[in-house]
Amino acid sequence: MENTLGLLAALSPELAVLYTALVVLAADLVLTDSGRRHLPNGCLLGLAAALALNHFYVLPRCPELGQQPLLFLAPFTVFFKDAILVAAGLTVVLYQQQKGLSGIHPGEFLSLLLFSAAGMMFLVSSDDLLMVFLSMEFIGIISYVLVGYIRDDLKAGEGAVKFYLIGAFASAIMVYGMSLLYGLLGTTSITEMGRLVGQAGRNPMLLKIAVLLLSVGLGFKLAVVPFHSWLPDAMEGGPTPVAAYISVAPKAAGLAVLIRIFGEAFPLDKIQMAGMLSVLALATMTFGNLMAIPQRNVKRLLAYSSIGHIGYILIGVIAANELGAGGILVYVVAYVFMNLGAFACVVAVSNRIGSEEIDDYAGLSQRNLPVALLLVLFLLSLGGLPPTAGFIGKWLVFGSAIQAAQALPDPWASPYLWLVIAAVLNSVVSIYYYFRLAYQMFFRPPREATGVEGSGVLWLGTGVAAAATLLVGIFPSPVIDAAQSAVKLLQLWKS
Amino acid sequence: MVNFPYLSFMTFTPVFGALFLLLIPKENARGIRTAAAFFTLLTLVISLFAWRAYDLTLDPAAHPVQLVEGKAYDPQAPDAERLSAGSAWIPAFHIYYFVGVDGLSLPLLLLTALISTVAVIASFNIENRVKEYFFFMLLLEAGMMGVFSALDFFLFYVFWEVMLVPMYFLIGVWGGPKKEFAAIKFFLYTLFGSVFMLVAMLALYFWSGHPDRGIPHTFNLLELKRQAGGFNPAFQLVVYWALFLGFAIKVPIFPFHTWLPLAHVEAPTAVSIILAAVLLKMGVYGFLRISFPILPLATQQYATVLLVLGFINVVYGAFCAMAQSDMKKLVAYSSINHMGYCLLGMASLSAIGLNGAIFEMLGHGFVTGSLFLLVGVVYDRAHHRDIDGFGGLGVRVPKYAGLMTLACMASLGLPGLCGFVGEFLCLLGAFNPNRILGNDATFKVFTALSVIGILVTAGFFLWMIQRVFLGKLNPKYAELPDLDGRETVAAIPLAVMTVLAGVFPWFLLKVMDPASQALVTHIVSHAQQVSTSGGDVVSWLR
Repeated sequence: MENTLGLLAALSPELAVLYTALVVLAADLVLTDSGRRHLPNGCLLGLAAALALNHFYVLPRCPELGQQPLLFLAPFTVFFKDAILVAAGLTVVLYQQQKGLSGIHPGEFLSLLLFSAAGMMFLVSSDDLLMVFLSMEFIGIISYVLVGYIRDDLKAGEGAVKFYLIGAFASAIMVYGMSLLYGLLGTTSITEMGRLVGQAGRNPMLLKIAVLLLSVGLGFKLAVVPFHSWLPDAMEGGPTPVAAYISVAPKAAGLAVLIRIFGEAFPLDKIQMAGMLSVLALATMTFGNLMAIPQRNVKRLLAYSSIGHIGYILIGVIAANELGAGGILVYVVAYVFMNLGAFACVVAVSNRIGSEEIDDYAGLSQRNLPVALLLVLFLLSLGGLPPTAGFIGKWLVFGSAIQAAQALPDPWASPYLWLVIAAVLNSVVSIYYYFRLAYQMFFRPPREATGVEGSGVLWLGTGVAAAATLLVGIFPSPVIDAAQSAVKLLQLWKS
Repeated sequence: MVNFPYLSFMTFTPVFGALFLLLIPKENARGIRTAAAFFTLLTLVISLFAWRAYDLTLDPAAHPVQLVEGKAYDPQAPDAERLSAGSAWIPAFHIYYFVGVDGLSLPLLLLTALISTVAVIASFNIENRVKEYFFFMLLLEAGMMGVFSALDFFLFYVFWEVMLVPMYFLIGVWGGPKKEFAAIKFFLYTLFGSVFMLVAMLALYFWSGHPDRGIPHTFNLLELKRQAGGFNPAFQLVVYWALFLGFAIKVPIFPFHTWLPLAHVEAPTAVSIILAAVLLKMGVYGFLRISFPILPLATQQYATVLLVLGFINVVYGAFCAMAQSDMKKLVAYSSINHMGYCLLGMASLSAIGLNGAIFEMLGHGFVTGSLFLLVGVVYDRAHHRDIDGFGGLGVRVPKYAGLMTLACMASLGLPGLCGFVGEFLCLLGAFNPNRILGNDATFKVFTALSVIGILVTAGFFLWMIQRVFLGKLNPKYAELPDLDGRETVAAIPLAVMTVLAGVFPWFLLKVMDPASQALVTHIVSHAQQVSTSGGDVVSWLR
């Protein structure tokens, strides 16, 4: 009985989200059309409650609530769940504003969104490969539906089908890896595997293959090259709020698992996969950034840019130190705000001019200066220029690699420094395509003279994102401290 | 003694001004101009007070920097005390809001304040999107002030990057025909250099200090300077060239100069003034503030490379300038030429040479500022800048011709004007380089060859004066109006400084000299230390 209560307490944020989703679904059945308009506000309330529970109830009680079967609970997971809840909340705001979307079965859409958020929170807390697999499938299936939500849109259908097929393929490979791991180690618990992996008598080659297969599944979720091809199509085809959501939230959840797998269960130096991971990181950032250059659609551009960002973030995993893990946490917070902020601006523009083509952003600064300035701020942050959150994230992650290099007798013999050099060069490339938008908005004359108005709620969304982007950029101390202490409590790279 | 936070006021008054401008309605162009001028003028006044508050009688060894805000920096204090000078900003990484000035940065801060004021007055005739223009202009000033006052590498980097964005928009929106290309080229080129500076900055941080013994890593530039003896030669080499990329692009040093003529020519007048008079100095300042003190051995080893590059800048810049038919392009290439003198002076690693380099930065600021200003004036009237398209203007616009000739004479190094002092000191320094460099002959040869540059400079400026102001008056410009009140107000301060610094250079040199002397002593002692000990940060700290 006590165990059950403890489990419920530990899962209270997830439960809050799930209950909200069920309530929304039920309310959708009984409410009239005018009542349904308030459903998003209900969602926001539920998410706020979950955030409060997560941050103020679970966080202080982490040590006592931490011992749960199949679950892992620590400040580290609380941090990621905060990020996911904020991302879901901002997505609800975007949904409310997106023209042509908010009218279609709002209850279904919103409950799906909340279910997937709950799934991501479970994924973050998974201490067992079975839980990892189940949560990932749960998130995956909901995401396919969300991408294909506008049924009669051909592009949405195309994106959803590609997403589904590649997702199913990746899951199959991942499950195979998991079964190999179980066969090798006799356990599916991540914590337990960390204890067993160093012992003698394991076949290192087979272990490597198993971890590799497992990372395929995670690589798919994170859109690491070469498992990235679904992301641009899904983001272009899906409704803009969904595109914003799947470019941020599943990645945050996937990163939480990735850090624990490569930090706790299979430390990179023990399984000797740093080289392979470096190649993946290099390929991901270079490919993402280069492919973003020729894009003409803002959503596709942001999709490829998000592939590039995952490449940078992987450096923090490869560096295999606390600074890197903490840096990833800060990067995730920064990424949630700057990417969703950028998408909020995209929604504001597409509502008015009905287009997401970059060329149609011409003269936006004269049609709506605040939106143009805000979008420039988010783009600057995505490009990693100070004084924005994106810069702090990049600075920490790159710094972690340099710290790792410093600890070696010959810094140039390791991939660290080369990765950092590749990453900073990639940042220069990224400024080029981000500023193609700035170029259109500020340097080109507008095609139509009409203004582009935003609405109150949208200002709330962009305002929160912009304030957070700037605050984290100028006064990063609270976030850095929180991230560092969240990481310190893990058993990363310790044993 | 109560410290007035001069430096923070100088940095953040323009930021406040920029935010204030946002509150003024777009239609009230007059109000926006007045407010922008007010805030730059206020910054100038504060910096004059800062100049007065700077105490020359203090011993530079005990007080390497002055006007520090928050916790003072005392070289005698124990490690923990020194490392936490300034006010805490990101404690987890020992990053402090640490600002202060010495003889190197104080004159440059003053130059920035003066040039910004002139630039704002010079851009009163901007009619298009006035609010955005002055908004970006004030942000730019804040960034420049921050760069020259920061003594924490992280803070320095933040300001260094913050400046890029306003510059991008200022060139791209209000510039000439090829403005978009010039803007993005400037942005990407500078960013390319500064990301390497970021890597170098992180490397310096993680290689400095020794956390296991309670000496944390640091971004504090003065502390990094103290630990300069502990960075081994191989490390110094790598970091030196990484920083070199960042600074050389800004200076710009051949062959990284190609963004400059484009950006200078396409930028609107006031922005060209700021680009030439202040932004180029940030590159030289970066060398003198960061590379030279922190990496003394690399500095000593590669001084000859700087010398040769300086020579190329001087001669190549001069010949390129001579070939131009566009007045603005001519001035732009003459900037490359003048930055070459700075490099010669710096490469010598002698106090005279360093003084010359710093003085040349100021002199070039005053002179090239006025040259761009005056070229802008004639462009506003004639709508072209073709040197051969004028003729005999001296009769028609005597005030203009007088000021222009003064600036040209100063630029070509006429004794009695500020260009001469800087160039002379730089060449003198390079002719008698520091003994630790050991290759006197190379320095003497390249210095001698660089004199060709002076000759060519005199040639193209005189030739331009002849073609524009002398000869028969071109009938097309028979009605050309002379300088109006606003233009005169903008031009006079720079002309006054040109003459003042030329006939009475000591009032500037006495501020710079202690800083140069200290830097030379530091480089000599620490370069030897590294070459004898092999540079091991642990043994050095012990």
